[in-house]
Amino acid sequence: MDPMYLALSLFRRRHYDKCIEICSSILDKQPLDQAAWCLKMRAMTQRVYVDDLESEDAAQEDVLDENVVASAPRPGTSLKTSSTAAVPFTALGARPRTATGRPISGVMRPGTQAGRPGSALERLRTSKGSTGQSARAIRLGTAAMLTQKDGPFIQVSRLNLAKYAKNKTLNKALFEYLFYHEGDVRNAMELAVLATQACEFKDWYWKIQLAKCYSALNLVRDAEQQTRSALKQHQHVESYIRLVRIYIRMDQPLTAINILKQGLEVFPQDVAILTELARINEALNESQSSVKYYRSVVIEDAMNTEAIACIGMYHFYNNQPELALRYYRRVLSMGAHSPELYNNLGLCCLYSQQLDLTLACFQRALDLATDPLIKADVWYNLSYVAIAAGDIGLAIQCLNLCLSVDVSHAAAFNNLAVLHHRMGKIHLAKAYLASAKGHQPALPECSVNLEILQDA
Amino acid sequence: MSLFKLRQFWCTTSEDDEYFDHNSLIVTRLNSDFDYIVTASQSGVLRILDAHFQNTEEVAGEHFNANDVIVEKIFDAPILQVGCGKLVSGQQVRHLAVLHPLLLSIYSLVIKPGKTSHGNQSYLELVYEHKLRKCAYNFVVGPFGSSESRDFICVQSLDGVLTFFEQESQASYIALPDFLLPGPLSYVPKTDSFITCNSDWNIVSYKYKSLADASDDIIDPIYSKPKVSADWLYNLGEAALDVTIIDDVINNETWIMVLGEKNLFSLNDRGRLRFMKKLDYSPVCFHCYVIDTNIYTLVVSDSSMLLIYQGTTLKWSTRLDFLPISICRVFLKTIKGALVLLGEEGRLECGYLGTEPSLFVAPPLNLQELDYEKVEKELHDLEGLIKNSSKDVAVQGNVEKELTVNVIINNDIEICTFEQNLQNAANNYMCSVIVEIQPQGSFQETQVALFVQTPLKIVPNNMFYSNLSEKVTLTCYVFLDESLEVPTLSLEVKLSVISSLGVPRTITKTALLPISLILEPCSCEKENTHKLTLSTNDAPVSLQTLFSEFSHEDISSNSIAFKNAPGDTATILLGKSSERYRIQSNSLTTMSVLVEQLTSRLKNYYKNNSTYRISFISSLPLVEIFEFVKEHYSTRQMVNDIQKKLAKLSAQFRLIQKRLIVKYRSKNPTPLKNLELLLNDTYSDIIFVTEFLENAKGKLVKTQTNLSCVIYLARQLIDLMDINSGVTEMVKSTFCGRIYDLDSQAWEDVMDTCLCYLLRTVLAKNEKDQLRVAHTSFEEVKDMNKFEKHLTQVLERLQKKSIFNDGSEAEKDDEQEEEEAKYKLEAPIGSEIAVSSTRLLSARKSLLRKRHKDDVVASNQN
Repeated sequence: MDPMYLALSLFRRRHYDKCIEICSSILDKQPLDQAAWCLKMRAMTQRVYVDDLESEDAAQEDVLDENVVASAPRPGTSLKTSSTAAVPFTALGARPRTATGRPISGVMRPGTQAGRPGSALERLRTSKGSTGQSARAIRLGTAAMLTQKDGPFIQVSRLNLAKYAKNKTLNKALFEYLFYHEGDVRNAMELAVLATQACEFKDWYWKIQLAKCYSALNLVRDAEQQTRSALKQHQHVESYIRLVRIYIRMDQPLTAINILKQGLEVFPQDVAILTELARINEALNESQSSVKYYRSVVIEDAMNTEAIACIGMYHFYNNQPELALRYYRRVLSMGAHSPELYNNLGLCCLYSQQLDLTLACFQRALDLATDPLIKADVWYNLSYVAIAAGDIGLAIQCLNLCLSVDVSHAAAFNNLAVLHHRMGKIHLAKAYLASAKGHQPALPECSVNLEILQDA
Repeated sequence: MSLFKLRQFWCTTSEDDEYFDHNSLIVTRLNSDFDYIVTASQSGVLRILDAHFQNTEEVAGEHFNANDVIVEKIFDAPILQVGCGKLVSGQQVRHLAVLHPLLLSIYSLVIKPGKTSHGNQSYLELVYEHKLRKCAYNFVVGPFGSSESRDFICVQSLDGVLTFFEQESQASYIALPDFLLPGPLSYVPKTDSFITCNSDWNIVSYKYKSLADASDDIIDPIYSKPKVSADWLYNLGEAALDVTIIDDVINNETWIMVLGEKNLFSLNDRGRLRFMKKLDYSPVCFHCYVIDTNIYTLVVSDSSMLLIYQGTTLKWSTRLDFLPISICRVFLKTIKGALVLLGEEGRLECGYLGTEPSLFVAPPLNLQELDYEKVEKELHDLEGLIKNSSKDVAVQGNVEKELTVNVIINNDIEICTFEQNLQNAANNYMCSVIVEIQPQGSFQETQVALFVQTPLKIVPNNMFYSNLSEKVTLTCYVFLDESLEVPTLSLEVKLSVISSLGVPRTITKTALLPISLILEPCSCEKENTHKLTLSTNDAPVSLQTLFSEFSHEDISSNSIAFKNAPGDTATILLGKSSERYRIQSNSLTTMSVLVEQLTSRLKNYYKNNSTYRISFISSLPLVEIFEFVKEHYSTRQMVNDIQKKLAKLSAQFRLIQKRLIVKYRSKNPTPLKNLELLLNDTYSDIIFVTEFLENAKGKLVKTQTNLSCVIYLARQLIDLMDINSGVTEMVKSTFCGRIYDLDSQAWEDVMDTCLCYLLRTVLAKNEKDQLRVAHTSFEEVKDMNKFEKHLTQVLERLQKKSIFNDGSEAEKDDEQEEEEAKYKLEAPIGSEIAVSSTRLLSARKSLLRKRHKDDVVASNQN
């Protein structure tokens, strides 16, 4: 069989390593075989490819952000205030959020992990500064070097980008290689600029790629311009989502929602767009409309775990733990097997009085939890079980265990204070409340409790 | 993740080392009533299989029967693709087309029915074959050129040459433009065009006619690239994995389904987008079909999931046991619309979806009867965890156990080798101090800081150790820096450590420096202006024993005198009969050190006697203390004034400079003489004021030191007064011996605030005073009289407390006193009596003032 055919077949069957090997041997014989070169590039790109729309790390620069439109936005028009300012109360009170403002739901989604606790300055000191290149991109670059024994496959610095930019058959593969495999945003962008000039700005693909590079370099406004221009030329779901992500970075959720609604007119009932809408609405604390969109997602895609879990969460915080339990059980039967899910199931069981299952669920959650933050949350929730059973000693122990795993768990400090106050240790309670406030100043409970204690 | 699982009813596997690709599977009727499954491996094995469905529940596993294989033929060359169509001229039956890298062969399937029940005999018969000039990639079969009842073949080579075969005859070549890697190739019968995905990631449609026309013009398709114009282009923006054409004859519609790497696209025959769907997984292969007017798409994801979409709506999803590389729908005799899946290593499965959910079952929890010992152990572990985590936070004091600090004062006096500002070389002494730090564990960071009161100086005064784990010693030297009074001889060693766990701790140690560093014995004086009497409750100790280091000097047992660096002397006398010690000196400042020394030595001497007590009963030297405060205040004011003047002068200087520059720059030069004069004048003024400031600052240091001496003295005496310990602590912390004059806050400001606080809290005379809010903000002291008043009150009340040893029997003075102090116009400085008389006076005055106020109000009303 022809080695080129074999390489193509292996590429198609996703055996990228073998494909790269064969391409290398072809290139050894014929170093100028463009097809093999291109295929090798694509195989190397595909091997490390992660959809950057779904990946976790968006660059976060809040200190040096020059794109902020308003420093004190009006309520409901910004995502930034919603994490720190008071959260509107639902029937059960405010939804708990992590220190970074992510709702505690057991559902991970892109972009919510970026704002880790710790001041922005601290992050600046530890990470790479404000180049805006995500950590993953840098990792990729170094990982790519390691896997190649005789140096890098392509010497990027010696590449004649102007020549390749004009080659319509190669430039896209080369761009993706530079962007995803090498993590070299600067050169990728140069190629994109040259290529979009070469095709006389007629190819929307290059505009989107330019936007990608611009947002990686934190030039959000330029990215917005390119994406808008690309959308004018060509309707694509991903372009809409990219534009929305840019607006979220600029902290303009209302514009983002408008864009998404335009997108829905072109692609009615598109799951990706609906999900994005639901997420933004949730971030704006409009859980009603968020759940509405999640319901549309479920109608379109009944297997969407994010939507099911979010609807479950909505019911849970609306005093309908039985309904929430049904949604979470659906997620469980679909094969999700995570500590967060068991934790949520346990809580639903507790509040819907199915006490026999409660402890079993939490037991599983504890067995599965490896991440200290999750473990802390499970222990924290177990303390509620203990409180419900009237065992304050056990509750205190659970909370202490929670704090032993995560020392900055403000809610646990607050609850410990309440329990100790009940047992008559007022000074201890005050101390715990003070540390709770120190860890998370926005927590409303501890401010209220402190006031009560001060008045007493 | 899925609720469902594909139900398989028929399964077979191929030999080892056989590999398949997505072109290796077709399902075709092939002249029979029901579908055959044709597989062709890259190892060159062609199989035609006839799957069957037995609706029997009892037989589990593969229902494969050897009879199901119709034909198995092994070729020498690998098979890249199989296809079928009406490929033989003049015949309406369908033939199989088999593509080898360099050969295209057409076979007909011949089935001879068997006579007995052993089955049929089937074999493949070669009809014709075409040799290919280029390595083939794939081919497409179709009625090109709208030819009725005839199918032609178009083979795409690896380098992008399309070769058309009109049944037995070879028709033409054409090289595709913009070509680098071969993509999927399909044929749209309705528009008679070919659809492919080029290397620019566009979906391109070429009319068969334009391809044929272009190929007519040229002879060599490789070297002379013909102009082939595309019918339409759709910019996909990603590489296409597969393209399928569904020709819906009933509705006269054509669906071009494109499976991209990230999205699923559906185009119409004119290249317009019908819909697209973003896939949140990596697709492997797909299959499409139309029921009524809806397009159904089966997509296999790389996580072995089969997802079935109607348009963009997910209708069903099911888990697969393995990852198929190709998927088809098959109509069998007994079951219609079953799924055929081909794995890349030859696993061939037929199955149906089935509606019974196969629920995910979590691995069972190991919940047997509780093993109490085990559970108890777990509880202990968890409790240990709690204890460990809380230990770091709560336990404060045990750092002393982990870190031993010894401060050793060397009593030997050496001649000072450091640079100092002493005029009198006689006092040029220093003594060494050794700090030993013995850690028991490891400490991340340790900082040692040593403090002595000015005018003493210590070198070096701090040291930093990181990762301290072994014993370290630090030797420092203390010496007198300036010939001023020394407030105290105590040396403070502060250790700040960060333990290996990151917990910060501090340790403070104090030690007394030897007296001979600053004082030397001299002859006693009989009569002095200042006298302090300390009484004890035990037998007096001879001064010779107390100050044993001076025993070689001629001192008597009941008197000893010292002279300090500035030349002041002080004498300690021992009362002959009573248990009293008297310290007397002409200057109050000298006495601080002596009181310190005497008390510490006495306490040291009687350290086994727990009831031993030294007390000070007589009144505090109030007036003298205030003298020093006033002196400090006025000196500070003077410094401030000079600084202000300096600021003014330098501003003036800068202004003149600026003016000069402007003059230099101006186009019309003007004489600069006047300005130069001004500049010189201001400069000399600045120099003069600076010198003045220097002197004033020196004086300020001196007054600060003196004040510090007095404050120390007061503090020690207060300590000796018999007041309850809580008050003593607070008062002592108020009388802080270190005098700092900051730019924005002077010592008096801090002191005044502290005094007011004391007056309103612990030293308050009655309830009402306590109820008033203790004011905590610092204000600049402008009126020294008010300050004096506060100070006097504090010291007086302290003495009262010490006399009655009980705050309840406080004097009967009215509570307005504090208020009145603010309105008081002038307060004569004087003795106790004077003050109290002032108070009475002020009370009267306030009455008068009130009356006056009332009068004013009344007159206003009038």
